[in-house]
Amino acid sequence: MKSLPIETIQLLNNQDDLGFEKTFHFFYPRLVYFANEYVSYDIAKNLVQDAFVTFLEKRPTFTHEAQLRSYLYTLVKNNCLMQLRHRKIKSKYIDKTVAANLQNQIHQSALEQLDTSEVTFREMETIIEKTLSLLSPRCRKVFVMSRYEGKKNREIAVSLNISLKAVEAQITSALKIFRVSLQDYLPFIAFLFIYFCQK
Amino acid sequence: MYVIEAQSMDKQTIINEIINNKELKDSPLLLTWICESDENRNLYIKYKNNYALMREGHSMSELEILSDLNKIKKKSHKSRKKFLSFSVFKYAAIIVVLVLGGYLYYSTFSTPKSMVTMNEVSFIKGKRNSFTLPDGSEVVLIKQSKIRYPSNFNDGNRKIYLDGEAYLDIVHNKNSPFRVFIGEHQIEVLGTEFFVSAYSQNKFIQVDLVSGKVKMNITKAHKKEEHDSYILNSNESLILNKNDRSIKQSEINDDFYAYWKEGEYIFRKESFESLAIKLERIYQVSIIFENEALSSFEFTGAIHASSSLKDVLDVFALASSKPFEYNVDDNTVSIKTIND
Repeated sequence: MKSLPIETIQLLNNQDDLGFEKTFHFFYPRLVYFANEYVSYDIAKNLVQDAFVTFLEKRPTFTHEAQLRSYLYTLVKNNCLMQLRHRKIKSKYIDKTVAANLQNQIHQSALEQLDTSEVTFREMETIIEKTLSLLSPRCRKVFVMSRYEGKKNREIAVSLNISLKAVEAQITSALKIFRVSLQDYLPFIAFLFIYFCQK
Repeated sequence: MYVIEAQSMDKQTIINEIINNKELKDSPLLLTWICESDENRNLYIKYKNNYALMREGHSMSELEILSDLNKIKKKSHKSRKKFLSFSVFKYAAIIVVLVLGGYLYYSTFSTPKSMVTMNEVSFIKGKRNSFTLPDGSEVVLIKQSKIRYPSNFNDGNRKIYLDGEAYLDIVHNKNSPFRVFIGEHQIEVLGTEFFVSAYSQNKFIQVDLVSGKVKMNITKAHKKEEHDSYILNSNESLILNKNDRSIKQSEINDDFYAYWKEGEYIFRKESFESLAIKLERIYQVSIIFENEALSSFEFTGAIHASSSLKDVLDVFALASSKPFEYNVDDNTVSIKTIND
């Protein structure tokens, strides 16, 4: 999991606007895509924006990143839940398909079960760090650039001065390691790599 | 309804379905599988949630992020204005909550001298009632006690006027000292938890310091503008005799302060005499032992803030190896053994 520089949290705690902007820049896309797993893209954007407005009003302070993450994801989770519950009431009057109602129900229980406490985010950090340490340095570098920095394979090839084929080969070898060893008991790590593979 | 035969799904298929970003309602196969059992449903939810938390949104454009940042700045500006115009209601809400919390009397009035509005908080009923000051400091007030504080409390004016007993847990702030005024004397707080008993009609002022450090400034008898200072450290107790200004400093040897803080005081093998002093403080009564022997009896147990004095004494009577009876007359409780 890509992390926010520690300075950003310090800026944020000092009520510095730059700190807020950096935090927003880092978390906004993540939170919108997170919420979009449960609600439509447009609604997701609105809900995340509401969460940031709350954030600006309250101006909470944080001691570490997992705490900030937990705060933001919890806000967005609750906004999504309210949205889904509201839609449920409305859909009593509007003839919706059975499937849409079922989807709403499942998404609601998913959010209700979702643990957005600090512990969750700390655990995720640890698992990913451990996983990364299994890779060779070159492979790790390619992986980090692709996954964490969102770079395309071609860009990675250029900046590391290796061929596109070599980049793909590194990715394949990383996938082999992880798919075999981690998929069964760490499903979300598997996601990470399947997603990565498809890019 | 779907008339699709139940099929088994492997992890990979579920994962792929989730990753393909197709809406669940458009995947009848998966939907049917999920609805088949709680086990299936929970497995899907686990994968779905994990995937949601891993999303990073790299496909969102820089332009979209920046334009939405501006939207938020505008939204937050608007809501801030709205917030100000609603601040009157905010206060009304606080009053209601506090009234519900403990039959509270709350009023705002002006002192002509300073023209600064003072807020007064007191509890007419209830034994132990807590509330939070504007800076986040916690106050537990004992019945018939009251405090006043200026409305500009948060602007470097952290002072309260206390008449009665209170447990205070003060938020530390280097730039804004916290002062407790007790008549002509004052306590200067350096970030801390402590207990003050200072009834204007009583001869004694007692300060129990749980943690941190406080300075007690005692005004001199003949030179009102001068004072003597006493520093109190953690677990120390200071009793001031207001008449002759004599001081008694001692150590706090149990965790009675937990009663004010958490609403429960747990004691082990404590003498009835010592417990009676605490009960006197909690219930604002005086307890008299008509047989000396009773006062040395030891008890183990707990006193809860929700219990009445009668509840507590009944439990003591049940637990006592020697039976006793008590009689409450006005604010005096007399305890004596039953002679059989």
